[in-house]
Amino acid sequence: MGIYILKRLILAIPTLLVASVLIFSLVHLAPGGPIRVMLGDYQDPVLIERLRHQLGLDLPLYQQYLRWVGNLLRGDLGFSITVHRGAPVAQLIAQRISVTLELATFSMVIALLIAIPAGIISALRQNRLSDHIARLVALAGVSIPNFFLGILLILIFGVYLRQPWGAGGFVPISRGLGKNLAHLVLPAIALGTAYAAIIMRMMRSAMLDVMGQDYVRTARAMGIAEGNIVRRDIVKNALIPVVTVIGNSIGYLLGGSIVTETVFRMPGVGNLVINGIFRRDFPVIQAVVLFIVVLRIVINLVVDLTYGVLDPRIRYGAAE
Amino acid sequence: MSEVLLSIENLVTRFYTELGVVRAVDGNSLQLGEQESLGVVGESGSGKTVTALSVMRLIENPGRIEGGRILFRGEDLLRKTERQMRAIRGKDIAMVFQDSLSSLNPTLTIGEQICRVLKFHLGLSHRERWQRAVELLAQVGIPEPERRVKHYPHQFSGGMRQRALIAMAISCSPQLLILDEPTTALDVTIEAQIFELVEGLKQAFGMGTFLITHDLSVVATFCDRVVIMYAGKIVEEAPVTELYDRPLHPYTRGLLGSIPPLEGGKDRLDSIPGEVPDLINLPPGCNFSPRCQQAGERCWREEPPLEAPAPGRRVACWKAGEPDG
Repeated sequence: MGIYILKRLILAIPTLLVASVLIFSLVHLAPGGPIRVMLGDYQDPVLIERLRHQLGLDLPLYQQYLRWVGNLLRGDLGFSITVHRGAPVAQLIAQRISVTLELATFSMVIALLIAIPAGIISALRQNRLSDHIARLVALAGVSIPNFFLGILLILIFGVYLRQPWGAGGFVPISRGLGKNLAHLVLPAIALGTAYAAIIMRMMRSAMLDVMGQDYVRTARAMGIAEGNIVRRDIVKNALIPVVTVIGNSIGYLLGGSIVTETVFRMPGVGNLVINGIFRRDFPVIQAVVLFIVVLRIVINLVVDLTYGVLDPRIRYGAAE
Repeated sequence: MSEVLLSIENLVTRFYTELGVVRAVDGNSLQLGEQESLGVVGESGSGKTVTALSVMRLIENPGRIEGGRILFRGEDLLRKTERQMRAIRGKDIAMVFQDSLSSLNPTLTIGEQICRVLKFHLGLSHRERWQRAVELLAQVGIPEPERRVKHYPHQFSGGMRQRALIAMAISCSPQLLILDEPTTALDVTIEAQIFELVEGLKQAFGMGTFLITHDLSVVATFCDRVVIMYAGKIVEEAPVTELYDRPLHPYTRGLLGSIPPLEGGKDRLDSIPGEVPDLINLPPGCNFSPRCQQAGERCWREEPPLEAPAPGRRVACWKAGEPDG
């Protein structure tokens, strides 16, 4: 197991290398730059040159890239140019990561609490009314973009119903868990709905697949009660493929949090990267996107390790 | 024959598919005595497995048992509630399936799977159940049962898995054991071991066995009596020895002709021309007539009834016993 994890981590190095090149080139391909933003209407050529030199933007691109990677390896993520001038990016991420993680976790919890039972019921009552309703809702859930759902929720709960927690914003846990969670409910629903829909459909089809398996028939032939069969034969085995989807979709949650945080005015990492993009803050964009890549690699590894818990046929690293 | 254990009377099981009604089992009757070994032989799609699943009342949608009676120790299983059936399945009647890998839950250990059968039918304490599971594994000849009981199905070999499945089936000492091609996935030496094991258990528990197979040579060593099925119908029934000596139905003769003789001396094995008919659109007259080399005018038109030409024998053929033409 230890060797397996080590192997996976070594394999992550080329992934990160390619990701860093892509991120760097895309950022520098985009028109405009941080200096334009900094100077606003006052675009003095001499000043521009001086700032370019100061920020190292006058160096050839490959040198800029090497410098960035070199700094990264020393643990230096760089400094913000425009969003929070002079602030270390690492510190900016550290301040905001808890908001994003809380939002993503809460969305996932809500999504799983809805999706897993709905998928189970839907499969057990295949082609009956409850199944049709669940599938219809799931279809709608996948189809509605999360920013639209977010705006809709703010409109209903914030504007019409005038709920204090309905208009966005973020309350840190230090000011009370209740308030904190109340403000998270709408963003979590906006972000988690599509996620729930995907998982529910996956759970349903995995259940239907397992229900046709021979070992389910064996259990019935042995006189096992139906509830026990559903729990130990059907759900347990159906969860294996669903965990893959759950894991893969965590990337979707991180991506979706960028939009959701903006709609709900939440001071998270997603919000930071959006501001960075609008204001051409190269170090911020590069560092945050790379950070999200690292997060994803780690999450994928964790997901792969959970298979071993669910499926005894998978054992890592050691031969039988 | 001793006391009747299982008596199937005019069983009709049909599947209502989108393409039409599949007459999987079409009005069959058969009996199985206590501690008797019955072999049910036929090609795929002849209705042997559906007959067994009907006895277990495990026919799933779109299938339906449409008629007849299934008397087990004199009680009609078709009149039992689902709850009553659950108490019978695994306890009084148990079934061993074909593919042992797909028939066992991959995420439960062998012990957990045996213990849960014990729990549902016999209760027992947790410790007693595990104790019994180990004993059962030992009884079916699995070495190191204390260690093996904690293993998952994929850690067993094919033959060992089939033994484990048999251990599960006999865990509550059933009176009737249905074996659905239990050795199809295994090689010949393992096959012989499995049948030896089942034979021993049969003696020890006094079970009747209902063996489904397409292999007449297996039947010869293991069964007392044989039923031959074709396209959902019983076409011949006989005590094993008589069937081999004097097969009456042309289909049975075809099946026997396709077994390689021990002495050799045959370059090519005989085969039965054609294929099993479509169970949705059965031919008029005898179901076997399109493939039968002896078929005549009457065979195309009228369906032959299942008649008893001698005690213990039944055959459904207009030309029963006539030499091959």
